[in-house]
Amino acid sequence: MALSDYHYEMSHCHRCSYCKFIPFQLIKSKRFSYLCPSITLRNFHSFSAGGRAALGLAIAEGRLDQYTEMMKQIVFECTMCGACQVQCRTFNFNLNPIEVMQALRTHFVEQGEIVPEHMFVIEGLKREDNVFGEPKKHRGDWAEGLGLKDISREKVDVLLHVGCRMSFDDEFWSVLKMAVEIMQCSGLSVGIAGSEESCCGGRALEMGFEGVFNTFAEAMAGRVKASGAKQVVTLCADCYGTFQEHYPSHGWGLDAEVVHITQFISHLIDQGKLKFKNKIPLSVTYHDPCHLGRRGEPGVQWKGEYKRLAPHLFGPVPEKPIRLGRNGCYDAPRDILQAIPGVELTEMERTREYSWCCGAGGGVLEAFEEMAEKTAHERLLEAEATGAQALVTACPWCERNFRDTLDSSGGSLKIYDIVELVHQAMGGE
Amino acid sequence: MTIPIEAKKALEEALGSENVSDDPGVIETYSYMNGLGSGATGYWWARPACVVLPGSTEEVQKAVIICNQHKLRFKAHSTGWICCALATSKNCVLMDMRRMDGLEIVEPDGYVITEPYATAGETQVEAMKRGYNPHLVGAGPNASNLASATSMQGTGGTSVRTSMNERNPLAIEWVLPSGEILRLGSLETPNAGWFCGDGPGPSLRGMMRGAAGNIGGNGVFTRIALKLYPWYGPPYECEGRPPFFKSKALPLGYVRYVSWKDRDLECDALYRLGETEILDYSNRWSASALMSSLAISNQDYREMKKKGELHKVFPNGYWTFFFNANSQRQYDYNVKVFEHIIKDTGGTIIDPRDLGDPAYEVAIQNAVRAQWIGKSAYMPTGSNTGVPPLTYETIDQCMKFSLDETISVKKEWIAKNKIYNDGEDNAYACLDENGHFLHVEHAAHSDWAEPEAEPLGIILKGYGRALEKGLGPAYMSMPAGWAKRSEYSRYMVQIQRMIDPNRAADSMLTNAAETMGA
Amino acid sequence: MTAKSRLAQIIGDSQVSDDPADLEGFSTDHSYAGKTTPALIVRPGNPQEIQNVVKLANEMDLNLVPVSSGAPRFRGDSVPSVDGAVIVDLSHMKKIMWINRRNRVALVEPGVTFGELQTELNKHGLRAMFPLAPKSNKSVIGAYMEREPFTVPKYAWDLGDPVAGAEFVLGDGNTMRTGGAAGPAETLEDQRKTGGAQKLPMSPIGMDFRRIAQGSSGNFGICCWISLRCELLPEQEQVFFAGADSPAPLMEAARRFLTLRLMDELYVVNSLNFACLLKTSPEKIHALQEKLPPWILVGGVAGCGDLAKDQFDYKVADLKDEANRFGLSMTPRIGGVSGSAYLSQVVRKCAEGAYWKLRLKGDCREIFFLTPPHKAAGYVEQALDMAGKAGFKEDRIGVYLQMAIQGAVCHCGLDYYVAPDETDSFQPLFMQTSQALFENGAYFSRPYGPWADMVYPRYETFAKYARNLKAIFDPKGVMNPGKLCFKEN
Ligand SMILES: Cc1cc2nc3c(=O)[nH]c(=O)nc-3n(C[C@H](O)[C@H](O)[C@H](O)COP(=O)(O)OP(=O)(O)OC[C@H]3O[C@@H](n4cnc5c(N)ncnc54)[C@H](O)[C@@H]3O)c2cc1C
Ligand code: SF4
Ligand code: SF4
Repeated sequence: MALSDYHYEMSHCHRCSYCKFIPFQLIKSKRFSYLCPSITLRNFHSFSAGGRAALGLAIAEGRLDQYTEMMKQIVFECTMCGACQVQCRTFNFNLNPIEVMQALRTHFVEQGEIVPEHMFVIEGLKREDNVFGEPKKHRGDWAEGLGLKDISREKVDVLLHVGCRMSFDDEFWSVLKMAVEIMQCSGLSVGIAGSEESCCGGRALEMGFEGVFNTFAEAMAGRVKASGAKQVVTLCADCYGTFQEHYPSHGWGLDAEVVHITQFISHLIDQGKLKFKNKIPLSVTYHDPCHLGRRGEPGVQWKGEYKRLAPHLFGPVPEKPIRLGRNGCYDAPRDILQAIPGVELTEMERTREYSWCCGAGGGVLEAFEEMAEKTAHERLLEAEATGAQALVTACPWCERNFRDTLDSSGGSLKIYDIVELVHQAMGGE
Repeated sequence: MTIPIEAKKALEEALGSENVSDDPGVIETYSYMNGLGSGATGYWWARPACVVLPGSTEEVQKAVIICNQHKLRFKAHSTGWICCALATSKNCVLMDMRRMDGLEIVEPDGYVITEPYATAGETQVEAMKRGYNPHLVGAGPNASNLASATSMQGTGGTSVRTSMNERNPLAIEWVLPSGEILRLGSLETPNAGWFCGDGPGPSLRGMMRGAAGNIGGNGVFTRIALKLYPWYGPPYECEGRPPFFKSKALPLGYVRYVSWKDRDLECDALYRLGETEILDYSNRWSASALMSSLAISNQDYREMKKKGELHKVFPNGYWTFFFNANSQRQYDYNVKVFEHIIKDTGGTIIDPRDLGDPAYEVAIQNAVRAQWIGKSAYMPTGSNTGVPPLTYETIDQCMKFSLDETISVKKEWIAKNKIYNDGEDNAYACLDENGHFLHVEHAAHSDWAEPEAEPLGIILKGYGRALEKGLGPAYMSMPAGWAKRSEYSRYMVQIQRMIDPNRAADSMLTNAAETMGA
Repeated sequence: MTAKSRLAQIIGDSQVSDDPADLEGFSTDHSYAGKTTPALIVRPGNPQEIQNVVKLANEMDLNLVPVSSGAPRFRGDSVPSVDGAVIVDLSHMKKIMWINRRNRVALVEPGVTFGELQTELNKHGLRAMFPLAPKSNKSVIGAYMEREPFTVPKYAWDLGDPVAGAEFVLGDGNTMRTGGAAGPAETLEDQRKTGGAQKLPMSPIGMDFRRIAQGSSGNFGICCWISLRCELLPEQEQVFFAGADSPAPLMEAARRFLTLRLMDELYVVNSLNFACLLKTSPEKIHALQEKLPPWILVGGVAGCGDLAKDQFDYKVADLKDEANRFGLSMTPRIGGVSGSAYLSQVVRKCAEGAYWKLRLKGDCREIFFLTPPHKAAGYVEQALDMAGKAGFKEDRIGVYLQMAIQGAVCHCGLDYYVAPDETDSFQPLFMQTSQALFENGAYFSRPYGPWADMVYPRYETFAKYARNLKAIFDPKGVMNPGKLCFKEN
């Protein structure tokens, strides 16, 4: 929907600031009460969901006759983590900030107001089908020698969609290999698209390039269909969120069940197909990746408008799905951690629907280094405050950003992908 | 208005360029407000000339002095939950106090030193860990307690125990519009701390505010101490999923809805309940307001309204009462005397759980954390305005006189579709200090998307009615009251001139009074 | 015409006095404010006369010192600081204007004393908040306008309590009503027609004159009457005591009891003050003192309102448990004094005969200040220590520790019992102790007499704005000049 289609919603922000805090019912300390990384960094109200709704409204009503660098920063220096959406919608019937912010981005791009760093990504995508602009032919290098099925040649039960980050960041290749080993416990045939795999398109969408996104979504849908896979498994929360939320809400369906690796593993444990032999004496805390959690909630395509239901009473017709992030993936990773002998899980104060973002999403890692780093740093401090030895997550983007931040800030916290712990516990090398 | 370049430079030097912005986009985001009060005038307000983010009292002082030097005005903005936090003069430097969010619980003295951007909810969480409870205004846990205590109104359901916020400040640090820093009470005594706000000698707290505050027109309050009240038992906690979550049990907590058919008996009960001193929370509202809290969309709300079930249960409004006892004996006495009084006055007690889990959560979360009042105030139309007579006085005056006066004003507006038909009686009331006084006001909803919306008139009409009927002094803090009672307002104007020789503070009240010729 | 004759025109000959004996009575008191004999005493009989007097003072540049209580006085606030002052003696304005049980409120004029008020309130089942055994001629308004602490801290939400509404004649001669009395209906009767009862403590129009005036020693205007918040008279009531060797554990327990709202009267005194409250001669005081523990917590448990007995019973039972937790036993008798005797002699009672602070030595010099409750004991120790070192015996110092504002503050009252001829020699210790306590964080919230010079140099901006405020309400500076921070006006 265009920005102007959100006029009713944007004019119904109540300036309550809920989008800046985790729910007041859940706050455990002043120290960790803030929710939105964007305003936490910049402090101007403009850098919150409410501020962006007001900016969108001003644009839609023609109150602004220019686009400034600051306005661009306001629109794009946000990880699209969706925490504001969940908080706002508990209170406000009439506004969905994440949709408004998405529309704002698309609008800016349409007006040619593009963040230069994002352009690199888009160009890379257009050229090499990945967000780094790395040569496409190397996309499947990580799987060399693993003997995985190639979906361009054979049908598979499960398509492992690797995503750009894991494909091109060789620090993650070992994790991928572990995942493959684990997945093999299922007895299902697992295949990959290798160098034919392309980006899910999520980044492009969240950077405001809806057309680019649609191209990748279409390609993805085609690949899945051709592979015959019943399940698409991914280790990347970003891809997961894209498949779960963005695809359906933009009218794209995958002819397969979308499964995050944590859900896959949790299912294996439930079925008794995965047994843990090793004890891992480790106190951990778990970071909910935004796009696995609240933004992993299945999306629905809504086409309609706000109509007068009764005097002074307006509402979306047909009714809009209420997005509170409740149906994101939160339990599978926790179930896994609890199942691993010796692992002791202590929760951070901001979890699940109200998890603090890692700082990598929404095009921030690519363009706003300070925000990416400070956001991750805040999460690391929160993790440390639990007393845990390790921070476990389930997304390579989160992990990358945490690791890089830890490198510069220092600290003894260890960072694990949940797959690593599972692999270790099952006795892998 | 654009800010003069030298003024901007000076602000940047004083506060750091990252904390100063006159970008048109930023300015727009500080000009918008659809919520309380904006129901009256639309959602776009004056554009400030510049927005700044001071990080300390000294920075506030520097910014105020710069404004004085450059003939600019300024206004403080804490969380900005209410329209008066926005600029009302075009040459206004809006001070968003967000960077000043400190909060320190001082033990064992039992008070909190709070900066403007520390919210009531955060304060409560920290206070409860130490066996204390702050006052929370009905505005909710998202509001700044400092703003409420120094500059706004200050009443809420817990007022029956925790008073209203005019009465809660201890020491106060205040950057006057002249740029001087005034510290009230014990603060300037060496090694004393923040435990007292009156004196030495006369109490200059008296020039800070009355029943209502001066909504940003008195300078900037940078830090204040607020007294805390006891909280018995474990800290209140919730878990589970949005939107309603699930409260963990309070072992000796008790929450009930009560309604009466007869207003006189209702008042008798309120007096008697107050005298027993058992209540920690008391709040009257309407079936319509409860539905607003319970619904999850406008369609949902409309269905509820159509079914009318809650209106059947609470045709005359209802009260939420809550207490949290320290001992089983106290609990038993509280329940016994509560039931005795309600029965004796013909009231009906409803266990909120009987209306479903969300109804229980709304009751308990409101009682402890003022969680859903704001939602009731805004949903489903998106904006709301308090309709006078907004009365603070005895239970009898508020409940037997003021309440119905507003209903009669509202009926006219509803009939013309200028405001939303919420069933007319949407009176929100809270007892204060064991029932020594009470506050009542009515919500009136409207939606700017409705072509006939015209809520400003109802405020003026309500004020007129209040003056005519002699109801409640609180409203006299508004310009309409100034005109009538110049024996007060001219002193207030003199005080303002004294603390603000250059008229640097962006005073909404003074601006409005001038516009109205008061 | 002279001031005297103009005043006589306004309020009648008999209400204006320049009788030297009369004047002498207002020229000094039991403080270190010095001695200045006023020129005249006027006794207005109603608010209109007060207003006329103030207007005349503005016209003729007279200096007015409002006084409501009778002697003995201790604070120096009513001793003129300038020559030629006119005492406005309000002690004759004795109307109890209204008592209303339903709204728990009374309206009184400045001459009404605590004893007089309580006698009337008894008939309505109400009680006033008493300072600790006030002198029999202590004006209710006098106490409250100077933020005197009262003995039931759970009812002290704010330091200005229990004043609700009030009427003042401002220094410029205009009148102003505050709080619930401010209207909008003009007359009290009209306010009552719509259920009003002058109950609201806060004032309209974005400021609160009552608050400004409180603690100002009459510097902003004269209070003609107040409405004061009353509480229910208990149906069940018992006084308990706990003794200890030092004040700290008692204060800790008292803070907790206040938290639990188990007690109405609640304060800590030392044995000397306890004995002075109950006994009338030095011998009897000493005899009782010997039977007492050095420090005593006094706690009154009350049951009020519906099911008062049940309320009383649960509080007594809970109190026992709580006291146990502090290793204290709350007993109904101490040093041979029973709780019921204490109740009948001290609780809501004025001092009979000679004021209790004068019984031991004939004079008493008070040092009092505010502190957080948990620090009170430390300041007491510091003061006693200084006295000891200066050779002033501890057994001549009475102590009264009274929490207020729901336990956020504690009034620390140190009563130095001295013989009339010792007052001069005691002055250096008085000042040294005050100064040392002040430097250590004791907050002299009412810096009377010589304390003004100790406190206000630290409060420069405050004092400047207090003076600016005074210039608004009392532009000619007719009201009690020379007090507090108003020396330069
Ligand atoms: C839905 C809703 C319900 C409400 N219900 C109640 C209620 O039940 N009871 C009640 O008492 N109030 C109520 N209010 C008003 C409420 O008191 C205020 O909104 C809130 O307490 C103030 O906090 P804030 O953070 O919103 O302040 P802001 O909105 O930031 O500011 C409020 C005012 O205070 C001024 N201000 C803020 N900070 C400072 C400062 N540091 N120095 C000087 N001036 C400052 C601002 O200029 C502004 O005029 C309600 C408001 C809303 C929106
Ligand atoms: S975006 Fe939503 S949560 Fe944020 S201020 Fe607006 S209404 Fe409140
Ligand atoms: S998506 Fe995340 S970073 Fe962006 S405004 Fe919402 S909460 Fe803030």
